[in-house]
Formats: sequence, C-alpha cells, structure tokens
Amino acid sequence: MADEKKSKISRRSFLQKTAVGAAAVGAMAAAPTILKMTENVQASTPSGDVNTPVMAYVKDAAQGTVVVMWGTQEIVTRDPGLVNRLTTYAR
Amino acid sequence: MSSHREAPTISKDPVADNTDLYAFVDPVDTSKVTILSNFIPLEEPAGGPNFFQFGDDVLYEILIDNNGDGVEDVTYQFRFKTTTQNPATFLYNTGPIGSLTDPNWNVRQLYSVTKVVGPRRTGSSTVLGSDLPTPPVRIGPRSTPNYATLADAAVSSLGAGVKTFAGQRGEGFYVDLGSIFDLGTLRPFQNLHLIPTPATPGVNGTKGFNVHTIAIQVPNTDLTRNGFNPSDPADPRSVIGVWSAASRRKGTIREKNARIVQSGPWVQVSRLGEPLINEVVIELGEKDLWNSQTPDGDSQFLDDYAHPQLQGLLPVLYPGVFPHLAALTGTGASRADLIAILLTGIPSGIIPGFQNSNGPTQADELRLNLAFAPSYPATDSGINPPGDSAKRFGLLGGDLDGFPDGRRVFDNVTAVELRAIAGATYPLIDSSFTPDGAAGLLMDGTKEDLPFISKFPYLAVPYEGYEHSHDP
Repeated sequence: MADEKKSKISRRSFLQKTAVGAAAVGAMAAAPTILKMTENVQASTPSGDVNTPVMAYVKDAAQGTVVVMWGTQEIVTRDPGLVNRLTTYAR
Repeated sequence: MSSHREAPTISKDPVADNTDLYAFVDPVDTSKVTILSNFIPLEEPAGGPNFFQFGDDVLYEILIDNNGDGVEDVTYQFRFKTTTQNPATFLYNTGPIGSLTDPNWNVRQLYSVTKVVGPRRTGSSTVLGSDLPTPPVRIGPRSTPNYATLADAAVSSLGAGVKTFAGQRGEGFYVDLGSIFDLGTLRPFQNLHLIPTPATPGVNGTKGFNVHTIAIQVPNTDLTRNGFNPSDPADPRSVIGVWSAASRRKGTIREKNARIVQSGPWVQVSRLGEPLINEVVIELGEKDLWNSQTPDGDSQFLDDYAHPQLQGLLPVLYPGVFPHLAALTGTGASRADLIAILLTGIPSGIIPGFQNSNGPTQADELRLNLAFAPSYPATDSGINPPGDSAKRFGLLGGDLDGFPDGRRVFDNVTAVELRAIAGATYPLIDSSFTPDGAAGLLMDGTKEDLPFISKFPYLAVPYEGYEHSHDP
C-alpha cells in the first residue's frame, strides 16, 4: 500500500512539473499503443492494403489488448477505448 | 508412424500433417542434394470424388540450417493453387487423362516455389517458379493410364540446377503399425512380450496407402555456408541441418455462404526433423507445442530426448530381455548418445572417420554431411536393398551416408531408433556399457511394398485407387 501511494505521489509530482509530460500522457490515453508488430514477407502484402480482409480480436479485455491482422501482418495494440466499444456489443 | 498423426491437433488436419522427411546426397548427381517432405498420412488411393491434394491455404516449407545455430539460413516455400475447369460437374476427370494439359482433367493444382535466404519470414526472397504443374492422383487404368510417364512430366526444372516435384507418391515409410501400438509389440518377437502370442512375421501397416510429396533437388553449394564446396567430411561446413514445416494463417472466418476468409501471419502447425521424435519421444502434453516451435528452442524438450519413456518400457514389455537397459535406465543416466544423434549431430572423435555435427546447439534437425558420397547405386536393386540388408540400417550398418546421417528412402529408421533407444548406441559415450543382445536385433520385420524408383523424386509411383490392397 505504501509503495502504491508513493508511486502515485511521485507520478503526480512529475506531471505537475512538466507540461510536456502531461501532454504525452494525454496522448497515450487517447491513442492506441502498438505493443508488437509481426510481419511476413512471403505474401508481400502492401502495408495498409484495405482490399485485403482486416481481422481483429480482443486478446485481453482487462488490459485493453487488441490484435489487428491484415495480409500476413499483425499488430498487437493496447486500445482500451476500442476494446470497450467492442465488448459493449458482446454484452 | 514416422510422424503421421503424431500429435493431437495436427492429427485432425491431415493436409498440413508432415509425415516424413528425407535428405540425401543425390545418387545420380552427387553435386546435388535431394530433399523429400511428405504430407497427408494414410491416403486411401480410392478416395474420390474429391481426391487428396495439397492445401491451397497451407504454406509448406523446407528449411536449411547451415551454421548449426538451429535457425534457418535457406528456406524453400511451396504454395498451391487449385483450378477447376468445369465446376458444373462432380467429376475429377471426364475421361482419360493423357497429359498434364488434357482437357479431360477437371481439378488441377499448380504451385509456386520461393527461395528465402535468411529468416524465413523476413529474409530475401526469390520466386524460383510459379504455375508449376502437379500430376493428377493415380485413379485407375481408365482415368490415369501410363501414370509413371504422366507423373514424370510433372518434374520441373527451375534453372540453376534446381529441380522440383510435388504430387502423389506411394507411401515409402514402412512400419508394423498395428503391432507397435498394441502395447509395443514387435513382430516377430511377440512371443517374448509380456502378453505373448506366437511369433509371426511383421506386417507393413502403411501398405496400400499414398502420401503427397514435395521434392526438391538443388546444388549442394546452394545450401552450405557461404556456398562452401563440401568435400571434406571432417569440416563442419560440410554439414547441413534440414527440417520441414507447414503453417496456416492465424485468422480464419467461415461465412454462411461457405466462403472462408483468412488473414494474419503464418503460424506453424507442423514440423519434422528427425523421424519418430514427436511420435514416440515427446510427451503427449508437449506434442502440439513441439510442432509449433523452431529447432533453436529444442533444449526445452531435452529431458524427453535424454530420458525417453520407451527405454523404460522395453524391459517391462519384454521381461528378462533387456537387463542391461533396465540397469542403465535405473541409474537415471542422461542418454548423451541420443542427444548427439538426434539433437546436435555426432561430433568428430566418436565414430572413426565420421561426424555430422555443425555446432553444439540442441536442435532437432535431420543432419546431413554432404561430403559422404552415396554408398548405393542409382539402380532399382541399389535403391531397393533386401529387407534384411545391412544397408537399411544406415550408420549402424556401416553406411556413413545413411540415417542418422541424413535419411535415404530405404533406411529402416524405425529399427535404427529402436536399437539406439534400447542401448545399442550407448557405448559411443560409455565404452564400459554392454548392450543387451536383443538391442542389436530389434526391428519390426517390415519393408516397403512398392519399389522406390531410381531417379528423382525416388519415392514410388503411387498405388492406384482401382486396384490396391492393404495388409497383409
């Protein structure tokens, strides 16, 4: 508990001291975070080709982790907002 | 079987199930190596109207590690594409198929070959051939007369000394399947079994079945480290490690109109290096994992190789026959001989004049020393030695170019591995150990039923659907 409290205080102090830091954290909260990208050259699918099927699945709802696949590529991203919207449909 | 239906998940996906892998210096052109990788276990030859074929949605790969780190340096990728000339009929063929372009042939499959240098997913890739023909399956005397000639026409030369074939072949792996999985019975030694029955000859359980083979013949120097010319058997650069694999796309969605949508990276679902390993060495709970892994991570399975369950079962199943093996197993000793044979290759200094190791990394690969010339002629008699010939026992029979140095089509890998696990090879690392007399006799008493052919792709012309039989 003490460690958790200390951590929160430190983080708050840090954010108060730097507007840049606050902006960065805001951006992190709004935008998805790419955790991992894997690629497969064999099929040579162009990046972002919207003509190929795009599939996505929620890998870990608690962590907000989504896997997005297209062509022979995938991105593992953390996007709690998207996960929240998707899981709403599943309820 | 060798690696047929060897793991729970892949046993339900036969199109991607890698059943056997062979690699040997080509006996016709010794400057080249031939690699054969089989898929689809226990193909019933009469399996129409939708006869067996490769998976259009499967990525098939033959991989070469030439520096002993367990990671592929050269990969050959094979992709298939089915074309149907007339979808309005239910027939595979509407008359005799006399050529690979015969209009009577309705359901055809073409393939492409891509060579990747470096990591298989991110390396430098070159398409060696596309829209290459596969032969039809062998149906019968009316549909596929002159089959051997028809299949010969499907051998493609891709330039630069590379030759490929992809299509149906007769099953070349022989084993007494019905016996071995009946509590480890080995005909003709079943009279010595814990539950004895009268001794009778072995029965080849794969008789009458076909497989689908991917075959490639390439110059040795295409596979060795920096194009090294393998002439000195003692040089580690003469050794390559070979494995093969099948992969499927990570995402699959089945829509109501029978449309299947796939996306995402390739995920490996089957692999094969040394024969019989995922079949009888890897524990049931690890088999699916083993298929998904790459050889550089095989140290995680070390305990299975070092203490195979079968070495403990043999003395139980054959009371009084394996006392020395029982004593060895009882000590808990690590089977360093098996680790060398199956995971690292046999280093220099163990067997006079022989080595097939290219590094200490524990990786399940079929290691082949390309500097050992073929010890058998490319004739029908040379490639089909008698069932009891010492040549079938590879290195144990005195052939430096035989299994476990690569694997030739006729090598009796079941007998070699049975003998090794029974302790016949333990003196390689402990000269004080005396194997049981039975260890050097173990075999299941079978041989192939169809003759191997004396030219590429060497595996037999397939059984035909119209006329074939299974055991006996």
